[in-house]
Amino acid sequence: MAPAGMAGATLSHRAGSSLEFKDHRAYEPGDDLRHIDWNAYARTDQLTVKLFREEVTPHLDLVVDGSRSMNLEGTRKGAAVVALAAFFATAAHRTGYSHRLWILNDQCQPVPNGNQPPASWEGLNFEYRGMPTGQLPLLRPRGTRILISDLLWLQEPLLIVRPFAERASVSLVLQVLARVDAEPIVGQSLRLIDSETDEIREIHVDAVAAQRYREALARHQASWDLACRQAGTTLLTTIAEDLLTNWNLDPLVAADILRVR
Amino acid sequence: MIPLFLYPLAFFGLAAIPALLAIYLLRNRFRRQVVSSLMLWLDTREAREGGRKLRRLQTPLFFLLELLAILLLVFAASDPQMKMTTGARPIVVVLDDSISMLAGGDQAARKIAEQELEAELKRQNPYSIRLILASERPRILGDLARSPREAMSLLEGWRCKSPTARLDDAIGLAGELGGELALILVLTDHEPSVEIPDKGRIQWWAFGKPRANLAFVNAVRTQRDGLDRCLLEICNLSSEPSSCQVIIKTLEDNKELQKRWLQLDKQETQRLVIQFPASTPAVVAQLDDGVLPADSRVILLPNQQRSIRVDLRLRDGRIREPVVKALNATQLVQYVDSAADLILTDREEEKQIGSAWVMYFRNEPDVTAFQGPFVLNRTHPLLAGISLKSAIWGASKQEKENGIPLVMAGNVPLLTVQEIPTQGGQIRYDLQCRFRPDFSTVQQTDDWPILFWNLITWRSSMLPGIARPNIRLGEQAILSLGDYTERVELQAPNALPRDLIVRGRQVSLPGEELGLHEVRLDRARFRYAVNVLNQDESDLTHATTGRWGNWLDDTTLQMEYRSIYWILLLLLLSVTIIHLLLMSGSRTWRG
Repeated sequence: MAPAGMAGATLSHRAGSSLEFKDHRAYEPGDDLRHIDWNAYARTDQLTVKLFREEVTPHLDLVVDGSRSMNLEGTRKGAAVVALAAFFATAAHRTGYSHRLWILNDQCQPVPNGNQPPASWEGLNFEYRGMPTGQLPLLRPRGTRILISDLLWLQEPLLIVRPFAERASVSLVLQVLARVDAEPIVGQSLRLIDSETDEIREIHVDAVAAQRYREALARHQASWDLACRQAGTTLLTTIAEDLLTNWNLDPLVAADILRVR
Repeated sequence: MIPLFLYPLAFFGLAAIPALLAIYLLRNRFRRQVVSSLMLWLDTREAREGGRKLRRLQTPLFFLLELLAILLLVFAASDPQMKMTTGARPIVVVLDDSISMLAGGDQAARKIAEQELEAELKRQNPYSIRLILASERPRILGDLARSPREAMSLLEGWRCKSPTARLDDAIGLAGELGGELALILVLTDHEPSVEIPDKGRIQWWAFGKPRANLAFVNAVRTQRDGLDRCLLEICNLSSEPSSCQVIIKTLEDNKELQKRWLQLDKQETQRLVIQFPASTPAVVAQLDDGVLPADSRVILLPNQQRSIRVDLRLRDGRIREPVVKALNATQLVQYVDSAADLILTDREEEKQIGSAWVMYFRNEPDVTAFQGPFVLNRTHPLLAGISLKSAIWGASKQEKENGIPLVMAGNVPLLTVQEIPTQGGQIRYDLQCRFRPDFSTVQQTDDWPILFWNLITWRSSMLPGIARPNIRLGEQAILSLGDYTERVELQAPNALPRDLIVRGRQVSLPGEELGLHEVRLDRARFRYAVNVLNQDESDLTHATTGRWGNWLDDTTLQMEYRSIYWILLLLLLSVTIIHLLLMSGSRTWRG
């Protein structure tokens, strides 16, 4: 994982206050005046700021949605969520991160042994019926934060995303969907049962209905994407079945969440 | 009103309905699918409900329309025929008027038949209605009725008082009265004796029920030699043994004379002979366990044999001796010298004979012995049972004779009768008998006492009064009157008095009503009793319920039914158009 976090002993890829020079850039108001390269100013008559590698103490807060929909019946969604959480925890551990696993139910609570390797985790189950709360605990400032969820609830996304991304060094909202969440079965009459409320809808899913569903999903994702961008975080979506089949993490690399050595 | 279908095989087309149903069921069968959240389906659901009322109604509406279309098509293919509200054919109803129709009380065949007839007439509403009573002779009941209500009011005259019902005769009369177009409905309590065609103009409805019955099948009362005796025959008309009590009472004061218990095997007839004291008045015998009230009760009036006063003026001992012997054998003769009813003489002429009948035995010359063949007028009561076979009749060969010949040998009359009016307006008879005993063997044959028995009973029947006061239902009693009169008054049970025309000195008294009848002539009163005594009619074991025949022949279809398939086709067209419109509307909405 790319290092990020509070000041510490680990060099971050970001500019910071360590002694190791990293780069120059033009001065911007608010920059620390102590970092102005006066020699460069003398030569170029331009205010230039020296950038140093940041020394951080990297930490990963991994928040997993604990609602029932995360372990959807008849899909590999739950397995994918656990696999991703374990992957991030392991990757963090190997890159010198500390990590903590949170489960997001009506409250966001730490998972017992959540700072240990995945094999030691206890109580990571998906039994919550309801909407996740918008009140997140005080996550470590300037840490890396990853929220794994299907985001399928009716709530203003900013209520979750803004506190989640606030004071984070890097944050990522990772939407994990089952195949049926993304692509409904067409041409059948379905008795749809809400996995969390057990509410039932009987719908004949023809091409028109499926298209309307896809459009609704796209609108929903767009609203989350907008909220994420407003909060300065990144939204990525993956299909559980695809992920478990080929373990393609390129989008994470592209988002600079992962860095391949 | 249920239509008639000319092609009922078309209803096999209804098999398309399950197929349609299966299509809709399969299409609308829902598979269970757990989803992460229904929030994304709300849009779809709302969309479905947004065009929604139309959409929600569409599936059942389409199904109903298609179902309706199939039904209309099938019904149209079966060519339904609706009956017109007013029938075009007259109907003649033949009513079984026999007493067995009253068996069963509230469940009697007559009562059920009346109810069914009323319902049928309201359903058919025929052009006209004619009622015919089938009794011993068919009788028209009332006038031609133009409405069911009018016809039902005429049924008061259907009283089921006949000893038998000749339905075939009544059906024949119905056919003649109604004409070729008339429909004939027979209401009875038994099945037809011949097969009723499935499609024709006759329907035979029976509403009887097999029942066990105990009934009087014979009842006679005689008075002779000072003894008044009564013979009763009771039959158990069932397939099970039965017992009953017979009570005999006087009719007027209801005084019990006899009470007997009878144990009868199945179909057994037992005979009761009861002797009454002299001068016992009219009696009534009652069975306590009969289904039909009519045949469980008999009224028997005293039936005194009336003796004939005979003045015997025969001088020839060869004739006198066999005549006296034959007369004495009848035990109905009283010998007198004056005021005789009958004079037997061998003189040529008798004077001052009044109203007495005279039988002349003529001894004429030129005698020969006739060995036959003899020609006899067998319609005359005097010759009932006489054959004259092997008899030799000695008589004159003269052919001339006054009166109507009764016995002839070739062209020679041997016995003649002549009707002679008297001064009092009465009728008497002179009998001329050419007879030579020394040339004859007739007096030694069986025909001789028969001849004199016939003579005495004939004379007796012409005495004033009713010869047989106890008759069976449907028979006639004969009242002979001493003097000339034009009419007498008859009082039948449960009826108003009515006048009867007297022909000659006799009047026929009808036995159409059960019970005691009284005939009034000035101050004179004559009574006779009518009883059922008909074993066939009392036997209810063969009664049945059923319907035979059908009026739906080609004539009925042409005259009383109209095809309505074109209406159904129009409806089908409308349904198809609505379906198409809805389909196109649905596609527009979906698009």
